[in-house]
Amino acid sequence: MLDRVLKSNTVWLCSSCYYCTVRCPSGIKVTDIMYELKRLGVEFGLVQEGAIAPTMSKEFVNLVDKYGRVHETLLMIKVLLKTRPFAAVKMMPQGLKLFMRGRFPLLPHRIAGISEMKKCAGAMTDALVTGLHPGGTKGDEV
Amino acid sequence: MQSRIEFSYYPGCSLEGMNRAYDDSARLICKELGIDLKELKDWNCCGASAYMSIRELRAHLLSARNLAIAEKEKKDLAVVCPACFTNLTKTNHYMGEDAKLRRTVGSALKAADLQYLGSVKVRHLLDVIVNDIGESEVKAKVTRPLSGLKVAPYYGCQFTRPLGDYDDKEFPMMLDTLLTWLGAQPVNYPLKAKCCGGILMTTNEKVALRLVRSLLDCAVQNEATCVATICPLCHITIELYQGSVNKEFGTRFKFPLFYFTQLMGLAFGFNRKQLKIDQELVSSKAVLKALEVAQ
Repeated sequence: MLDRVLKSNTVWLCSSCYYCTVRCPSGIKVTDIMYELKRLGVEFGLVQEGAIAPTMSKEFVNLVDKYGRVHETLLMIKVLLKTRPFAAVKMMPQGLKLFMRGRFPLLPHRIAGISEMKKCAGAMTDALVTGLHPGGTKGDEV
Repeated sequence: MQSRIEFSYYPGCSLEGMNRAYDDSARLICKELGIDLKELKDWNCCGASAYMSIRELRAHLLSARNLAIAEKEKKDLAVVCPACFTNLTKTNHYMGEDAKLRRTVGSALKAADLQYLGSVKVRHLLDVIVNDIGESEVKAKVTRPLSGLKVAPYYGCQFTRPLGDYDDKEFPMMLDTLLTWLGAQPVNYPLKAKCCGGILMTTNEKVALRLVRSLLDCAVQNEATCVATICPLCHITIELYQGSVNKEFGTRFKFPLFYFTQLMGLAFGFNRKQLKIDQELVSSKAVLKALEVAQ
């Protein structure tokens, strides 16, 4: 069952538009559940075959952990090269157009506080089962 | 003399990348309106939707660090990117209601001598302009009314969803209202708060192209000649992939887009260059000709 859910198309197709969350008459935070399913899939290695979104998310995290910010064009290039190299070549004219308009910064910016950010992240364990599900943990608050 | 209001300002990664013009035009019109934006010192990425898909607590930690810095600067935080707004607001909200989360993130922040007590209000700039500055002060700055400009007001997903309680969650009106203050004509735009495809353009291109197509179809059907955006990701998606949409579906869209701050700037009398409209990928020259905007 877990396999079927985590490998389904639905989980990674969710673009976080939050329609379901604001519409649910019972106040269920469906988008947050989708995030949880994404995390479970990555943790267990159960994602849809050929899905690009998990790779994209991992590369995103790598960039943020390294620089503190995300360089969006570098992210796109990295993901395309890893998943669809041909598409990366196809995108080159658009990339050039952005560059000509001054919208393609070449170097990523590293924030000054990156080492403190690492210290903070190191100070917390972000294991899969944290028991911390916002909105759903009121019962076991100490 | 006009009174001034102060905010810490969070531009977000997208505004120092492909959407620089949004940042520049936002700063320009804020100066004009008496809103002092002080860039949040050494801010970090909000995590977008990708970080939360891999790590939950660290994603909250990212926003908590920004909130802690804003609290130190003793100002509320003005944000322009709806995705950043959503993440910062969500963490703010969740930390407020969940003591366990507050403790965990709080003790991690201590490693960098930071703390967050929960006093910062996260505001979207459009909300600040419409509700704090208001109609009469905005109208007083209009020197070149955008008369006859038919605009599709496009909000995207995360302007009010899930936690922006200043406007309707499914059919917001704030941008429509602002456009009328500028003399423009917002057209009826039923898809105004639907998803543009955004990040799906990299991960599920076919789906995303269909979404962009329906947004443009809807704008044409309602006789708009341009689209006004609030979200930098929506903006770049519709702008950059119009050619791909045309190729995929045999359509002929050539739809110019403006960040809402650029339209404000135009109405306030600034020129294309000052507002970085010359960085656009689809030309708006024909649309702006009628307004007699200097090139």
